[in-house]
Amino acid sequence: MDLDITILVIGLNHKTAPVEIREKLAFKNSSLHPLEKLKKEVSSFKEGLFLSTCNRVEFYFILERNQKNRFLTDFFSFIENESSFKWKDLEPHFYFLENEKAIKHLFEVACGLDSLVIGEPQILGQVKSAYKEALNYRTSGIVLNRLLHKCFSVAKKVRTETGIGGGAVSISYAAYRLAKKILGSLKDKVVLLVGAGEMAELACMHFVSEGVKKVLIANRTLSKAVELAEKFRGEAYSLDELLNALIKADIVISSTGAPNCIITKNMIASVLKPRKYKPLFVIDIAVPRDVDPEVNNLENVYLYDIDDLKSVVEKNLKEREKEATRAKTIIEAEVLKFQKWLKELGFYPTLRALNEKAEKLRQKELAKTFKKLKNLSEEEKEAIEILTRSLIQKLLYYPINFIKKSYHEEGKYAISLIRQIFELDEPFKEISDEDLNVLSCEIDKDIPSDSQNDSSKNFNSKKVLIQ
Amino acid sequence: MADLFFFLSFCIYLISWIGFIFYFKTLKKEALKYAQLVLLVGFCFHTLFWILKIYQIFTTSLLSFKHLLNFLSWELVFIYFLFTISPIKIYTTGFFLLPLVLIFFLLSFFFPQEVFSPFSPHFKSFWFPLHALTGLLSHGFLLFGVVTSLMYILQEREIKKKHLGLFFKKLPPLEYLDRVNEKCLYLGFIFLSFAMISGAIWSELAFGNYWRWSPKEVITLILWLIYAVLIHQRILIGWRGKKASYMFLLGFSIWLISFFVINLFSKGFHTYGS
Repeated sequence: MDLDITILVIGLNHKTAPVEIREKLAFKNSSLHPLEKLKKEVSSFKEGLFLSTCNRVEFYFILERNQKNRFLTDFFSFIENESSFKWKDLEPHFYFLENEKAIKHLFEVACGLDSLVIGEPQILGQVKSAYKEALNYRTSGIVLNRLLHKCFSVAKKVRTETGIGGGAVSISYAAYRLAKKILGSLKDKVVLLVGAGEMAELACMHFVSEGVKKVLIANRTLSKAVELAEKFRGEAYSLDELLNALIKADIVISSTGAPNCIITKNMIASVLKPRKYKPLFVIDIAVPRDVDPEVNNLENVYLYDIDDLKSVVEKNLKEREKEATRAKTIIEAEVLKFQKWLKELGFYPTLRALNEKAEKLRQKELAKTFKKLKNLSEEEKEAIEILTRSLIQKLLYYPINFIKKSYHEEGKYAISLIRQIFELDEPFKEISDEDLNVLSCEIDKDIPSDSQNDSSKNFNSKKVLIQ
Repeated sequence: MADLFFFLSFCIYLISWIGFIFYFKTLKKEALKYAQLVLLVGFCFHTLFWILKIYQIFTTSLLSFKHLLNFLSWELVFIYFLFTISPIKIYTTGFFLLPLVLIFFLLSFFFPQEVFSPFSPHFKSFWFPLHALTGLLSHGFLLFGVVTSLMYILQEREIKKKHLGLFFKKLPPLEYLDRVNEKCLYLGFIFLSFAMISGAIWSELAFGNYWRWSPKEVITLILWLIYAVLIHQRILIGWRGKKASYMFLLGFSIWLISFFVINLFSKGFHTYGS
């Protein structure tokens, strides 16, 4: 690949650097965004992006190839200034990835393959907002724009085609998913919190945000229960009234600090009949346990304690790791596609210049012709338009094809050749009739062949048209 | 013509089942969409087949046992679409249901043509078609309930044992399966009651007595009683979920005896091919 630009990632993440270093480099305290500062202090990069989350700090740069060394020294001093560390101490924590590896890294980050919890979905949003910042500070250009858009679509593809985001990987979400599997829609279900601690509150959040019908809170001290009940707009019970609450509930989340079982098998067995054996899902996240494990043997009662939930989570994580290998194959294919685009980027401006030049010539010639032939109907004018356009397209087919085909073998040579032939780098100059005449005379002299007749005919007819 | 539709609908059901297998494996929405679309096409052909067949049955007054089997498979697909329209979403059922549909199809294909209903001379009466149709409908709902009961039991076991595997991931929530069970129970019971009443009235008109304690009648009564107990317990005490599912399986085994053994091999009233 022969490219003028280099895509460079400089960064550190939870695997390479401890949090003391990551937090210093997160630029959370400074008033200016790091991209703004970089733009002022280090001018030797073309495009830049800054991604900072709690697990990583990464800079993405697009550089001119020959400027790389200069840029790196600038960048190191910039980092030294910003953080109170010496570059020597920092260097082992950083990773430097270029081109193919850099693209791959960005895709993996966006898909959550590089995250602490594989496949977590927040990272994509963080990449998106980092990109927005880059747009804000105008440090994103043609390459980064394309790269980031590609990266978003890759992330979406990976998410839909693999199970990387499947399966709950937090305790409270695992409990929520189980509840959905047992009880179906939760819209008409009642959650009972036993113990008004923070744990119960957190575990309950998923259920509340999904819109359960009601939240009941039972606690040893009633005042605390009332406090929490107000927050969730629910009902408060004391522990003595627990049986009444159990009759109404569909989901029980227990997290008291009690040293022994609060909910016994007999208690649940006694409420089964008044509940008409409606399914009851009991989540026991307290240690020591609040609920007698025997409860699980009752009909239509499902008890999951903290270890059960943990094992569910671990299993899901393992499955995500399996899916990650599938995601990586998708990513590799997409990296290849992007590299192809980058290659095309090398000759794209030439193609455009070529087209523009031809179009300019065409317009000028058309204007001349229409000036001379005043009595043309609209239809005839259109026919001439079409004729000239297709003539140009067909003539340009050869140079364009030449560039595209020979780009891989001869690289920039093909481009510079075409640029020279068509004088693309020089200012536009009208070709006068004299130039043409001189040229056609030379042709007449030099090549005594069949084609000579054709070309002279062409010129004659053109002259007729012009006159 | 009818044979063509028969063959077409069988092939299309088979394709649809492959689609449902794919959906079961991947849980992709598109797979489901196409599988259901294909199933609908097959169902249309199947319905055409039945329109032609019913005309034929009424003109020749010959009802073969193989047609009953085929009609059951038509009903199962029909009930599947009924539940697809309803708000309870239990799509993966297609994966479990279609094998049953295909088995009935194959059975009806290989069953000898000569096993005719003993009631052939009585088709023109009003009560007999009513009796046959409601009876078959009750069988259809019973069979559908058996399929969802099986799904319920498979999944419930995984959740209870905290061994969340294949079925936990693929099957609809327990609650939905239980609600489908409930509906199948009520509808099956209603149709079975209709079938028994219309059968009794028709028997009175044709033969002069309402009830004659033939094996078929006895075993149907047992089935009806099981349904009745189940409904009673469900409404008053709350038998649901696993217990109800096992009751469905019990009802299914009794149905197997009533439909295949008694209809074909017992001596007496209701026996086909005698």
